[in-house]
Amino acid sequence: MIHFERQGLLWYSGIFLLGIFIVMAIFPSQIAPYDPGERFMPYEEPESGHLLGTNDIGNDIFSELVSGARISLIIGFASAILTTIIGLAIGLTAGYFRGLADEVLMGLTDVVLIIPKIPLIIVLAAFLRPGLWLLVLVLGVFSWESIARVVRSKTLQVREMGFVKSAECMGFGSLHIMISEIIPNIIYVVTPKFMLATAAAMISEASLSFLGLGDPSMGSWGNMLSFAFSRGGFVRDMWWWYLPPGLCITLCVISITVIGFAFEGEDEGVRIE
Amino acid sequence: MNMVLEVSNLSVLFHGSELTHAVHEVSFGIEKGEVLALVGETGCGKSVIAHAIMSLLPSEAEVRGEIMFRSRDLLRLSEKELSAIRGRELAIVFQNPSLALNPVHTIGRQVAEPFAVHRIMGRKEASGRAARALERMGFSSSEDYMGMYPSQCSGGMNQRFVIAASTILNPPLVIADEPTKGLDSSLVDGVCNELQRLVHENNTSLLLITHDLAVARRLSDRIAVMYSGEIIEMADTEAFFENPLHPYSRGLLMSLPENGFVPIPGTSPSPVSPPPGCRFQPRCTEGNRECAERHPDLLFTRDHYVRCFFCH
Repeated sequence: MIHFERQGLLWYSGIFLLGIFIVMAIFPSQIAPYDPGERFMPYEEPESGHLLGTNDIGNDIFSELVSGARISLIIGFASAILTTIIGLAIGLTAGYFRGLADEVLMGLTDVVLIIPKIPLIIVLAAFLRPGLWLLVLVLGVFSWESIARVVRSKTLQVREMGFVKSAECMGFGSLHIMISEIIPNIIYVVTPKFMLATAAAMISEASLSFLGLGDPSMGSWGNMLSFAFSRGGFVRDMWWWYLPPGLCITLCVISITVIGFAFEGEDEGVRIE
Repeated sequence: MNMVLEVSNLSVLFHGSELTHAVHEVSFGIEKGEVLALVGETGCGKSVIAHAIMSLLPSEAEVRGEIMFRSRDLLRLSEKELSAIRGRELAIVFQNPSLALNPVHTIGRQVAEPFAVHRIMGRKEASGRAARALERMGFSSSEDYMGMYPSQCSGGMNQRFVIAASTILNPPLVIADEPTKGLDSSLVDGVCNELQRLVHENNTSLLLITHDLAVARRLSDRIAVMYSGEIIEMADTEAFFENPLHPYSRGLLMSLPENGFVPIPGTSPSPVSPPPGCRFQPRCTEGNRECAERHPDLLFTRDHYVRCFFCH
């Protein structure tokens, strides 16, 4: 439904950047010159045959950077998928059935909404020592409220439309109506939200890892920043160690957000009159 | 007598800030293969009856009486039992076709949907049946239309798609709620032909709700005129148009363009506080004191059921 020619330079650069990161995530061994676990001379500078030098234990930083893309993207997209599924299910149920279901689910949403996310995740991380999938689960389970609210309000609007009424009159079940009549009409508000949730999850992961609360062996960009900070990268002013992961996080989040905005702008044209 | 639908003493009240009597003690029956037209002006309660039969009224509506459909009382069925009946045995065609179709699905998919949902056959076979249904409706190259979206088709085409979709399972009773509203005269023709074909080919019963008297005359076997939530006259269509008895019916016919465009003076009463006697009395030219005090019953005289003291 996206008309590429109507999107500007911003859209193309977003797609291009994200494309690079996705290629890095899918084929790390083809791009990275070394295995990220392979050890060389520590604290090497970029000139020494390692594109971005080596870190404190002698790993090639560029190779680490490339394989970190996979971790960051998996966390971002997997938790955004989880977020979207939970948000869609709760928003649709509340909006379609209304009444008691609506009261209960929106009450739950309000409760989840007032929980401070990052402190909660820090507490959970301290107790659970999260690995990759636990992090995905935690990030996904605590950030669906805004999708649920948007989906509910859209569902309230769409459920009153003639085609939903006539679907009811043809004896279609509630589940069928929600999935094949309502979702296709509200998906345009969900896609930008999905992209933003991806970006938010990546930032949360990076901040947690930077604080040392993620899984230190995960090898994400946040981990790299954290090690650069704690093992002397900043003190020795080794910019080739701490700058690239920070730039990658920023560029990746920006590209995803830009694509999300493009979806949002594009779909203005296809709304139901 | 082979009654498909029998409505007796149906009353619908809306509990809002004020109590609204939308429908008051309405009774009628439809036989197999019969077309009953329910006519009346806007707000007289005819659409409310259709919604009551389909159980589509909001929760603040109180429905009294009995709606027997093929020896089951629709008012006492659970939501699940209703779902099984809707679409298969009982179908409704809504007044605004462009809104009754989902804008994001193709016509073909929507016409075939009832088969897929009621698990009668697979999608592929269903779309073949949908294509044949569209061909019967006069869309010669049905393949082209199957892939189109509602926004690419005209209102009249969409209305025929809606009729095709809601009647594809051959339900014994179809309710058409203002099927010709907002269509120009050539499209009205198409929709009428469609409904006529449906009734003749499948022996379907049709409850036609309309305020277009020409459409009612053309399609219906019997006609019931509603005024302020009540049926005030019911008769065979030909007998009614030749000799309307109730002053309101006569007024309605006189207000048609071909009969001189004479309007009925006044406006219809508020359903919140209807007049105590005959509801038409404040606008009636023949009314006397008795009409203002006593409420007339619907009685049988001269081949008509009529609710008027002067006609008995």
